[in-house]
Amino acid sequence: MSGTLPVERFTHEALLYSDMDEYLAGTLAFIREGLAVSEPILVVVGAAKIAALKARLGLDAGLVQFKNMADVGANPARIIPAWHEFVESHVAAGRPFRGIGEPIYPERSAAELVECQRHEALLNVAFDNGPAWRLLCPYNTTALPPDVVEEAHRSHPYVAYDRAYIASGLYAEEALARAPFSTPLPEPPAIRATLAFNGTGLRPVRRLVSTEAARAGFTSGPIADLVLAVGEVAANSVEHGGGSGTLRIWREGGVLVCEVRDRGHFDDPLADRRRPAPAQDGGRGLWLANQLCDLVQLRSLKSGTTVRLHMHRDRSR
Amino acid sequence: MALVDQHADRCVYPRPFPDDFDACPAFQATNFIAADSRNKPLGTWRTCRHLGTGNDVEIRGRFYPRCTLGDEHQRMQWLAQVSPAKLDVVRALQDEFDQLSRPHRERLFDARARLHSGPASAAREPELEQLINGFLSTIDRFLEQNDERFRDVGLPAEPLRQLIKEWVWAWVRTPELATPRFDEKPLEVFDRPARAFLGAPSEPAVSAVRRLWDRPLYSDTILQILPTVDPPGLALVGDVDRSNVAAVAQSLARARGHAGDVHVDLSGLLFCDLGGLQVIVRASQALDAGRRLVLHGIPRQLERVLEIVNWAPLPNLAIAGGVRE
Repeated sequence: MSGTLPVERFTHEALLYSDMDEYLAGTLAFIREGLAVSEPILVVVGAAKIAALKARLGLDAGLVQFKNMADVGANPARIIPAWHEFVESHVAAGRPFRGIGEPIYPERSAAELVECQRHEALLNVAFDNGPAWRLLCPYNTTALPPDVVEEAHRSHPYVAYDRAYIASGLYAEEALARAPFSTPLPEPPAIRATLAFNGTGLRPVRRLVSTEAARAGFTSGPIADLVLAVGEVAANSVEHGGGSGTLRIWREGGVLVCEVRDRGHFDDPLADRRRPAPAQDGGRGLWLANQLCDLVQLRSLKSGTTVRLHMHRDRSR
Repeated sequence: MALVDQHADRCVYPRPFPDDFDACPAFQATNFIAADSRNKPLGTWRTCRHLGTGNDVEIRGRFYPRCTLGDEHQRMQWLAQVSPAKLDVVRALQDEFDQLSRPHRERLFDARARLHSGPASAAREPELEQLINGFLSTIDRFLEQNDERFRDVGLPAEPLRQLIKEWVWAWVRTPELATPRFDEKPLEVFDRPARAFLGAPSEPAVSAVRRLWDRPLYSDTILQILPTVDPPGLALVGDVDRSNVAAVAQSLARARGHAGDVHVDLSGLLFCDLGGLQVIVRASQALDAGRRLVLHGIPRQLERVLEIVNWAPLPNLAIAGGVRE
């Protein structure tokens, strides 16, 4: 690549590609540039792309750490913690390091896509004030809808086209990271169950989630996980969300969605993606929900907070 | 006549069970068709798989409604063993099966009545066989479509198919109001706790930890905290959540007062939220170096949750063998 970026801070770059040749040209140049100066490199992309990159890199592939995006980021809220872990393991050495992450691919569902975009915007909030490193995010301009590509310009301060970087004129920093947080979620299809709850006991909440998940065809493992996750979110409503809340449950194809709404408000956009410290008091519920559920959508508006927990019946999809 | 109920395994809930009945955590609804003396169906009743008949030892010929799972403690133990989530899977499968099989069962009921009503019953066997085969192939499809769910609850499809086939034939051959005689032997291929899903009497698991049921440290509608003597500590039986977490913290603080390791028996635990885990973790961290809080019979899910939220491994907190699936 011709334009080398100044690396005194975290730089979040989008790579727009229209086919595999462009993809490999862009990512391999980024990887080789790092290898030339012995930088640690982590690449988190799909399995097919890992195989293609390894084949092109030959022996050098052993110097690059690869992770499958399907394992790391099936739930996009788990990707920032993975990058945190990478940053923490290399920052002490004082050497620069870099990564490639492709969370957005065409197979993502509409809800996942929205959360991936939110994830991309939150990367700036999570790492802007930390150590300097480079993260490249490839976007497939042929397969992805145009608005997703446009959104990439908003969430990435730098965008690479045709082997040259330009600063994105659309990048909107902090304001943007918060914007998707307060954009209302679409109204659900037919609701299967609704339950108002308060501090007098959450057992009815757990019973309803368990029963509905069993009726939706889940096995006991994911049922118990969903019961625990929804229970924690409901406990948050009782403790921090005005003392009460409403649970609604519905199905979207093979996905069961449990929604908890309350009158509370919170404005920490990274609240659900910080690995908790053993000694901290509470504050683990949303983290746990993200590790147990396939997708967690969080929106805090003036009128209150909404959390939607998604569980896929076919988890091996 | 003594006023005190001699039967700890008496079913204390109102019957017939209302449609939204959920007072008993082990309740497993099943529909049965009641018939008059001429085998005409009177209607469908909701009952519980675990409801049996007990013989009164003091008064011969007197019966009482008996829970085949045992007394209250044995019911909780069985539920913890199979897990509430698995019971919900079984309940959902039972509902779906009832829906699916209703028309078949009604036709079979009529056919059976005709079979046993006249002297020329043998002539009606082929018609009956056709009905039964239609029913069995519907069951086959249902078992196939839900293979993963049946395996999850310990009822693999193939032996279950055999069992249902035998049950259907045994039921058809039973005349009038007699109780069908089911062979219990085929049940033995299933895991012991899973047999109760099919209505077999449960053989209650014996906890490795000796609990003092008669001296609870705390008790509410969803949780009992019991002292244990061997090893010394306490047992949590039921659900721990924000409504009773303070009582758990208090009992743990008291248990810390004794010398040596603190043992917490979780083999009767049905649910524990993060607040509950936090008081257990805090209690372990409050112990002096060299003393441990030892968790017995922790459910696999909670063991995983401890790791997810960064509470494992921790010094002073140990997990003894016997993790529950």
